[in-house]
This record gives sequence, C-alpha cells and structure tokens, in this order.
Amino acid sequence: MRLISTDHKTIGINLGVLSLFYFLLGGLFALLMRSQLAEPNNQLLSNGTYDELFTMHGSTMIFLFVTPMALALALYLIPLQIGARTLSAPRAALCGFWLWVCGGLVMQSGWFTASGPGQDGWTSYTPLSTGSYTPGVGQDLWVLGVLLAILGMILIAICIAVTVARRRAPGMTMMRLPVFSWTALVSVLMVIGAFPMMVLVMALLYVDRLGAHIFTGFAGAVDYEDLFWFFGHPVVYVMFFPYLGAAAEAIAVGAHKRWFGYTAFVASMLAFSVLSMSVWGHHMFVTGGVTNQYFAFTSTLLLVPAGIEYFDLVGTLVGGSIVPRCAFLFGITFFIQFLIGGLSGIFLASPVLDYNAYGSYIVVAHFHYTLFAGSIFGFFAGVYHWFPKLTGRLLREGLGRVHLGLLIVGTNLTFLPMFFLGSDGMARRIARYPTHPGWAGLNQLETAGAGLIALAVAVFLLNVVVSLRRPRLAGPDPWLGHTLEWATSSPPPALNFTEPLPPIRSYAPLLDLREAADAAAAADPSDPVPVP
Amino acid sequence: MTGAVRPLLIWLAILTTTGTLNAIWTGDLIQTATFAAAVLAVGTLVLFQVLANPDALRRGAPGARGAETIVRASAAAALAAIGLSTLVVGVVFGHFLIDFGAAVLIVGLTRLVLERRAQHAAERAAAQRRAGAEASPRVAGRAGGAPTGEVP
Amino acid sequence: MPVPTAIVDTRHVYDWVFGIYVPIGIGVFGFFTVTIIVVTVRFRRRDGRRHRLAGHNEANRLELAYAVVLLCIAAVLLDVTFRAEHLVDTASARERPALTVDVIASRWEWTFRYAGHGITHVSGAVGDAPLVVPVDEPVRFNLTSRDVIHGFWIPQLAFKRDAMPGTVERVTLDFDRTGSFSGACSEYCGIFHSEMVFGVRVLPDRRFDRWLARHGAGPV
Repeated sequence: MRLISTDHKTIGINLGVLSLFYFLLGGLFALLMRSQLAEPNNQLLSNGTYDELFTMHGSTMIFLFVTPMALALALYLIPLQIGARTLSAPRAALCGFWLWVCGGLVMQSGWFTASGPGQDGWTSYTPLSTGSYTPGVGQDLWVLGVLLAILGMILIAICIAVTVARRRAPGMTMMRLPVFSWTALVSVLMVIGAFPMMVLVMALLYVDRLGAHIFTGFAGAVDYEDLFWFFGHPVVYVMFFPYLGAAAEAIAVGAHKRWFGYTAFVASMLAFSVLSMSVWGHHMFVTGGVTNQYFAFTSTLLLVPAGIEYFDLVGTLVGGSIVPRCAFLFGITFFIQFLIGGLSGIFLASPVLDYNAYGSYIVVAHFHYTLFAGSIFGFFAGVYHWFPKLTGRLLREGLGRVHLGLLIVGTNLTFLPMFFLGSDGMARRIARYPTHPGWAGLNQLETAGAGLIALAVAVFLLNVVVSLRRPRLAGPDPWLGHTLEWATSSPPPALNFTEPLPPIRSYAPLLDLREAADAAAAADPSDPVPVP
Repeated sequence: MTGAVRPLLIWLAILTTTGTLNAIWTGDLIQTATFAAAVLAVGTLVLFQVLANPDALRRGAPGARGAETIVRASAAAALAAIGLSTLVVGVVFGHFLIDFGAAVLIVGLTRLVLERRAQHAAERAAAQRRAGAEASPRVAGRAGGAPTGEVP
Repeated sequence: MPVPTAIVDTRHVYDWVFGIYVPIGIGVFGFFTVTIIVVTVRFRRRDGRRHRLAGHNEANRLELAYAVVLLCIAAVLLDVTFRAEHLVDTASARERPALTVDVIASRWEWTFRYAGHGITHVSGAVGDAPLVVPVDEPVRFNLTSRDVIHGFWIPQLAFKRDAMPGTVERVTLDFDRTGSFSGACSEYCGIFHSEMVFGVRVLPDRRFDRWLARHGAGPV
C-alpha cells in the first residue's frame, strides 16, 4: 500500500529514502575513483571502469539523489507548511515517482550489460555519445533512464506548483509562504521551465544513436551543448535553492527569531532563479560557439541576489537568542562552505579565467563546493531539523556534532586541494595522472578526505539507527518552530492537521502566537501567560 | 486560489527580459528558442491556473476552503508509469517489452480514467448531500471542514 | 599587477584578472565567515534569556543600498573581464602571426602540422613529438578535430580552446618564456583521454629557425 499511496508524506518519504540509497551508491563510486587516484599511474582500475564510475557518480548524484531529494523535501513539507491536507493531482505525483524509480533502475541496469553503463560523463556530449563513438546498450539505457527520471520529476514539480497555487490555508497569502516553501516553489518553476528540454534532448540523442545523425558537425555539437546546458545549469540551482531554504529555516528556528528581510529574500529568490536560467552559456566559453560576454554578464550578476541571502542570514543572527543545535550548526556551515563554491563561481564566470579553469580540477572543486559542501550541508540541516517531524523521534545531538565535525574536515580535505591541482594543470575526468611534483601528495590528501566523508556519513546512519531503536520522543514541536508543520503531531496524521490551524498573519504563524503571548506577559508581569 | 499567479507573472516577466536581452545581444536562434520554450512551459501553467480559477490573479488572502476529495492510493498511476517505462526500455530490447509495456500502460490509463470517474461521481453525490443538508446549521457551519467523498 | 594595454600573452592577462578576482573573493569569504561566527557567538542564548521582542525583521532600504553596492562590484568585475577578454579574443586575432600551426585533434592524439614547412609532429597515446614554437612571437593555431570534441589546453599559458569537429577555430597565442611545458586534452573524449597529452617546447628565435631548417622540408 505504501508504494501506491498518494499521500504527499508517503510519496515524499519513499522518494527521499530511495534518493538516500542512491547517495550511498554514488558515494561508493566516488570512493572507488578516489582509490584509483591515490597514486600516480595507478593500475587499480582500468580506464573504462574509471570512465563508467565518474559518469555514474555524477549521474547518480544529480538525477537520483540531490535533485529528487530536493523534490522529496518539497513534497513532504510544502503541504504542511501551507496548511494543506492533501496534494493537488496526487495521482500525477505518484506516477512521477514511479517514472523516476523506473528511470533510476534503467540507468543503473547498464552495470549488468556487457558494454557497461553510461560512460560519457553526466553531460554525454555529442558526438562522443553518438552511436559511432559509444555503441552499446549501456549508454542507450543511460539515455532512456535519464529521460524517464526527468519526466517523473517534471510531473512531481507540476503537482507541487499547483498545490501551492490551490491548497493554501485561509490567510496564507503568497507573501506569507514560509521561506523553505518559497525556495522550493522557485525550484519547481525551474523544473517546469527547463526540464522538458532535457526530455527532448535525450529523445533526440537516442534517435541520433539509432543512426539519424541529428547532432552532427560543429553546429550539432554546439546545439547539443546549448540544449543540454539549458537544462544542465538550472538543475544545479534546483539542487541548491531548497537546501538553502532548509538551512534558513533551521537557522531562524535555532536563533528563535524570524528569518530577516523576508520581502527582499522573496524578491531575490525570484530574480536569482530566473537569472540562473539565463547563464547556461558559461559552460561553453571555450567552444567558440556562444556569445561569451552575455553569459559573463548574467553569471556575474548572480552575485547580487546571492549577496542578499548572506545579508539576510546575518540579519537573522543579530539580536537572536541562538541555541546552536545540530540543525542550526549544519545551517551556518552550509552558508560558509557554499561561499567558497559561490565565489569560485563568480571567478569561473569570467571567460579569461575560465579559459584556464574549464575542464580542470578547478571546476571539479567549484561544483563540489556548491553541491557537496553547499547542498549536502543544507540537506543535513534539514534532516536534523525535520527528522523529529517525520518520525516523532529526536536525533542524537552528540553523534550529530561528530557527524558535522568529520564532514567539515573531510569535505575541505577532499575538495580544497582540487583548486591547486587544477591551477597546476590537472585535467578532470582522467583515469590516471603522471608523476608530477606535488600531485601525488595533494591527491592522497583528497583520498583521505573522501574516507573521512564516508566515515561522517556512517556516523550519520548510526545516529539514525540509534535514534530509531532507542527513541527519545520529540513531541509535536521540539524546537519551538515557526511554521505550520510544527502545529501538528509528529509524524503528522493522514490528513496533516486535526486541530484548527492558528491564524496566519505572517510567514511564521507559530512565532506570532509566541510573541503575542510574550508581549502580554511583559505588559502584565503579575499574570504570566503560558507560552504555547 | 487568490494571488497564486502574481509572483509567477513577475518571474515570467524577468525571464522574458533576460531572454530578450539574449536575443538582442547574441542573435542566437537556438538560445532564443530555448528561452521561448521555458516561457511557454511556465506560461501554460499560469494560464491553466487562471482559467481554472480567475481569482488567481486577484490580490488578497485565500478564503475558507470548500470540501475536497481525498485520494488515498492509486494503483493505476503506478501502473501507467511502469507501463510507459517498460515501453521505453523496449525500444532497446525489442518487441516483447514494447507490447507488454503498451498493454500495461493501456490498463493503467484505463484504470486511471475509471478512478477519476468514480471520484467525480462521489464528489457529485457529496455535493448533493451537502445541498440537501444546507438547512441544518450544524453541518453548514463546517465550511472548509472535513473531506467529503472518499475514493479508495 | 599592471593593467595590460598592449598585446601580451594569455598568462599575463589571466594573472592580472586573477589578481583582482581572487583577493576580492578571499576578502568576501573572510568577512562573512568571521561575521557569521562572531555574531553566532555573540548572540548565543545565556541563562535562559529570550531574544528581545519583535526586533527589526526587515530593512528594505538598507537591502536596496546593499544591492546597489553589489551591483557596483559586479560592474567593476565585468569591466575587468570584458577588457581582458577583448585582449585575449579580439586584439590577439588581429596580430600578424610569425608562424601558423594546424592542430588536428583525434582520438587520442594531437597532430601539429607546420604548413609550408613540411613538418608534422604527433603527440598523445601513440607519440611524443612536441609542439615546438618560438618565444615572444605570435603563433596562429588552426584548431580542429577529426572525431569528437577535444580541448587544446596549455596550462602554462592559462589558455584552452575546444577543438571541435566540422570547424576550424583560429587562436593566436604568445609564448613569453622559453622552456618545456605540458599540454593536455581538457574535454573528455573517451577511453584514453588521460593519455592525450603533449609537450610544448618554446625556443629562442634563432634556435627555432634552426630547428625549422633542420626538420622541415623547407618552404614549399
């Protein structure tokens, strides 16, 4: 029954748990790659196996973990945050979930074919990925798996967008949507705007592989990159915004203060998300096939809305009453670590700098600082924040801090040296590197860091197991939350709310109640009003 | 619901602006087409919202909600997805999977239509019950309250 | 780093832009990291004290002013970038090359053809004959690919350009110092991508002319 349930919480948890499994699988691929790169000229893995691993690492993480996990958070949380009982068009969401499940299985099933799975990178540029240069069933399955997974995520995104439009509780105007809901809403708009292009591209690529020769010659190669990155850059932000929202919620609740600068934040999210749909050509600076200046212009402008988020973060902390629990700590670590990814992104937005950095380990460092050091820290902030809501049990704070510490050290040990390797001329996607002064040492640091990340994830899983086996009950609202998901039991009942909703006068309705009670108590100290 | 599409219209307006700037600056047809496709996709969503409920354009907070139908599960939706996926994979592996997938897809879609029809019938019946009970203040006072029809 | 005005090599332009972007980036990172940590410590809850009620939740004018400052920073960065890009992409193309080399990429080798001199060098999975060029002279490269997309990258010059099938991309590069350097393919191109490397030997003018005379079949 769970697998055909149309309850948004059940679909969200199913999608999230499966995504988490793919996180472990993609992480395993990464550990194998790092083992191969631990030594110069290492013979541990063959070139072909290495190529399959980096392709499937990227594809698994992007199509099967970070993006669907963002949608899983949105599916679970948005109806609760907007005070809805159900999802709009829930059958379409369920259908989307199953399409994504099948897409993931189809993509991974390539491992069991003689030709191996996809092997042309998660970008699968033509003409390399056409039938002439990558024949074989594995690559076919990769193309179709991606197509199905993307199709499924589009359906889920449409359901979320329509739910926000149709199912808000009385009083919940768009300018009272909680911060996380806003970040998830702009993300699903990007999914609806950009993902259909990827379905088209994968269909065309498949037809090309059958022998139709669609992406041929210079124009064909540039067209593929254009169409691919029209999807490929927005997806990066779909993998970022919801985690930004999760970190923001965890921080605001941890600081016992509402998120600062809501109006500016919403405006900047709208601008941020549209702008990030207009920057894809910066992936093509070295092709000679795009107008570099336009994309340098739009990409550099991204620093304006991104800067606003940091301003709002500091504004939230100032004057707060901060209780630095794990969710809060993961939240601020998200902002600090992402800063390295974001600032290196502005660096890469300059074509002359990109002429050196493109295709090198500088780029690998950059996007792992945005997607791993960024999104994953935001994801864990969300996990520590909402795990009690999902399960009714608290995660252990002590283990959480060990998890956080190991993850910070491991992340920086793994990805910081990549900036130096890239500057020194190490190209990405190479299965082995020559003995070159300094390279072996930096690569060994990275491999050690990857081991620490694995250890951190193991501590996290241990935390989950311990917290479920020996439960400490959370109650409906363990953190004094701000938003409506904390106004119901943990886990929420089938139709989300049994009690009438509190009045919704801002984006933090529960905090409004508490502040009103505090104000009443301050006005009349002899008659303390209990804090709800 | 009230005000739902206003931010979406702002979003579309900014996207149209960056797309127009792209067209002027680069003159690249493919890129202009991709911008147009995105505007079209989100624009369609906005249009459907407005057609379904003209209030979506109005300013203000959403009011009390009417009855809603609860859909608890749908084997048909999962079946349709699995059928379509099998069909797509069949393109690689051959006729059997295409035929099988198409069959499952048809069964899934048919059941989906049946589920929807049953749901609509239940909604109509519930609406009639409500209309009949309009005189009773106890029930009328439950505007925006409990779900009415249930379709397994 | 002085602002490059005349035609200089790509490494100089890169170092100039790098010298502006990276210190700003490190400064911003340091500023926010320190601010976030200091503010977090400063506003930690002590002795059960709740935060003061209903503080400022918005400061839209301040945010607007801040956005304008951010826009100014973006404008400065873009000014630097556009000027640098003009030097690398536009101004260099107007130079009269002292030498033209056809670079033909294919899986998994680089073919350097010195048109008019009868010299062909092959590097990569099957050879290691380097690209030989004179120092301080503009060299024109005609880049193309026989099969998939490859990337012609010389880290010493901080420059790369894709070698694409079906087109010839022209780039003009200056090598400002003599010596032996390495180059690599920067676009994943299949199973021996990591072996698609090449050497670059930059010779003083005289020695380059001698090399040309010794190895070439002479002007054709």
